[in-house]
Amino acid sequence: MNPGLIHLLKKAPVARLRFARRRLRGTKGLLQVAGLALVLLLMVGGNLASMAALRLSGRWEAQAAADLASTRRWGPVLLTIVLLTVAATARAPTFRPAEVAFLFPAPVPRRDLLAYQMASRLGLALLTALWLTLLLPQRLGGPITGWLGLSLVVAMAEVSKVAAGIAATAVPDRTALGARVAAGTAIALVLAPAWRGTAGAGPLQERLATFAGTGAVRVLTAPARPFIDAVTATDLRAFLPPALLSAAIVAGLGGLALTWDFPWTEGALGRRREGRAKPEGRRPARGGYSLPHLPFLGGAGPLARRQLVELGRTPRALLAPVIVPAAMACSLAWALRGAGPTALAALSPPVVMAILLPVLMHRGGFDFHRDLDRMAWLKSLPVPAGAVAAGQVLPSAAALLLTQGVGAAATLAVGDRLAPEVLAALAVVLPPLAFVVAATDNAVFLLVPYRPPSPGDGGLPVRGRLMLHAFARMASLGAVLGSAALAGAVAGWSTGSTVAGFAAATAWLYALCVPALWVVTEMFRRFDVTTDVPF
Amino acid sequence: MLLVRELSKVYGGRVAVDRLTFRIRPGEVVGLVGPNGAGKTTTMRVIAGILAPSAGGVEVDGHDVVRSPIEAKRAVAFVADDPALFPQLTVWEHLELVAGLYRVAGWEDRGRSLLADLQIADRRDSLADELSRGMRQKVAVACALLHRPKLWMLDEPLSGLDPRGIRTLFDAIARHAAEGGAVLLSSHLLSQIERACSRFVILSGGRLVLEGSPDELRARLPDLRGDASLEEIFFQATEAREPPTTGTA
Repeated sequence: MNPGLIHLLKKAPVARLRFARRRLRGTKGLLQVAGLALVLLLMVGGNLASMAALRLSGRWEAQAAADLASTRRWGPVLLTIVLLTVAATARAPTFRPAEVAFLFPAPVPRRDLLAYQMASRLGLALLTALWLTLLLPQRLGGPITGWLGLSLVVAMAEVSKVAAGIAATAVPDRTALGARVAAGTAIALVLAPAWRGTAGAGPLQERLATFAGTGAVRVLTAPARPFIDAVTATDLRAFLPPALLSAAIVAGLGGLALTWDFPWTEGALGRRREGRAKPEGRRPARGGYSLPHLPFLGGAGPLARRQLVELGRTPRALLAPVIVPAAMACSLAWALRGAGPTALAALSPPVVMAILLPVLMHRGGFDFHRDLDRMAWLKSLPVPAGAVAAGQVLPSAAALLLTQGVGAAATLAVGDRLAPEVLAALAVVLPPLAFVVAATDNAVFLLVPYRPPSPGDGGLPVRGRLMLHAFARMASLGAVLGSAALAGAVAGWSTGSTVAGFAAATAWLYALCVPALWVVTEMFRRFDVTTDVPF
Repeated sequence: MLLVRELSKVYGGRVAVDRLTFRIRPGEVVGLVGPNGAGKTTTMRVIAGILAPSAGGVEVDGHDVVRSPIEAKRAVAFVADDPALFPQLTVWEHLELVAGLYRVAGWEDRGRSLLADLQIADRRDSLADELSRGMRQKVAVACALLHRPKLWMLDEPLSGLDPRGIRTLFDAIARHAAEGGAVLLSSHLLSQIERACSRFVILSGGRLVLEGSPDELRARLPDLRGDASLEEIFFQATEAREPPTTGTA
């Protein structure tokens, strides 16, 4: 590999350490690190506490054996789904602006650039695997073998992403799409008879387990099996053969991609441009979609309208956030369909899922996240800071509300319980919930901003921030719902009326929008436009 | 030194550069000017080997940028309009990186001298994200010159530079040309680059509309006064509906 690229790879951890050290210098950085530590503690601590409780109750051995068996059964299936998704969505690799500026014009073969990108990704794979090891200890054969096995799993996903992205650049977009559709159809055709063959296997969970054991699924998931065998190996002797085989698969795929000398750099530049201009590489739809002006919002109106118009012209931005949680919640609702008189109660988990998943997956987009490079402009506007904050948060809340509303309504419809009173209650409760969540997300973003990540971007600092943001959103949702439930309970208990309780809880939810907006306004006021934001 | 021959670049059906032909000889400083969207940056990126031409060809120091990209790139330095540096690397580490990329042996003395010439020697251990835009621009210039390129391309290099920085840059350009190097310079600050360039290539809508020394350009636009500035030439040339017939060097 070119010595300059080796220099850059060696400097990458140094640069990260420098970045972390600089963050720790200020109060804001310390707060961020403390917040991240708290999130880690809660997530990892929860796991450890549950494991300790199982040990104390004497159920650890049985539970650990069941978890390991479940990983062995479902791991190859999940990894295959991940790899197929990677192959279906992969595009040309992305490079950071400085990498484009220094590496692309340099006399460095494309093969070396590709090797450099793979090496950077593999370095991060070790850390990602460490994080997964802390999150899923009970699913691994052992801490060290589990970590190494997960490192191979992440490495496989990363190398597959690069290889599939390079392969996709070798043919026109339409051909690549056609190949993906053909491959997907072929897989579906192979799996359909196997699925039909499990018709008599009983309830959905049993049927899925039987399906996972069919010949068709086992053949399809065979390449993923050594990786999961390595992850679940309980000793070194059991670990080495599948780990060596997995490493050979990763090395073989990586080596194969390095031999493809397709002209992918232009595609990479295109992705970089998309990433900079439009977070998450969204391509605006052509057409004259527009909105009426929103004079009732005062100074916030033009800002909210701008975001909403752009949101409407970027339908793909809403597609995945709407479809994925709705589909998952609907699947659960479908599985619980016909559960008898308690069906409405049984439907609660999918409805909750339809509301929570979008919060977890929400990444802003049409709010301050999108305007990181326009903060100076936003501050220069002759509009009060509160109105700017409202104009930025409202479209994001509207997008989240749409996602949650579609998911919840679809779930109720699939579950055959589209009760008008439930829909009416959701229509009243969801808007303030969405607003508070979007406001919290924006407040945290303004406190610890980050550039929207894309493959090859960011690394750990951005991942940490994303985790912090997701945690803040979930925590705000929990706090809001908890306090509203408390307000409702107090009102219901003192008046003896359920309706009064619901009204009080709803009023509390709406009242919370005011402090939420105030916090965003303050964060916007305090945002330092001279502060550099990491890529 | 540089030969651009019938170069075209098409992005998804949109023609960014259309059958562009021009040449730069050793020792020449050529200004590439044109309104926004004229194709200047695209042209430079193709010459730098970052983008592939859709048609036509580019030769740098006798090497075709498509057939012999490594040899061609070794002869070129490209300073982009936005000086993107690695935020957590120091100035000196950027020079180390470039020395590795271009395989420059014994680069340290030249690195120190470049930093001194560009008046950033005292910032050699500063991280890139501690530098002002103008300083970052100077670092980008130092990195570009480290491997002694034969062709130096600068895309909008003056933005962010203070008057002293501009003078320093022009001095560096003049020195490079005097040593036999070639320079292709793109800028909208016509009055600034007028002094530095011996010849101009004027683009509009991706096409060459006029090329030559200031005197040759004035001669081709008979409506202009004999002492017309580059700015007047530019407006006259780019506002014409049809490109005037020009010979190419």
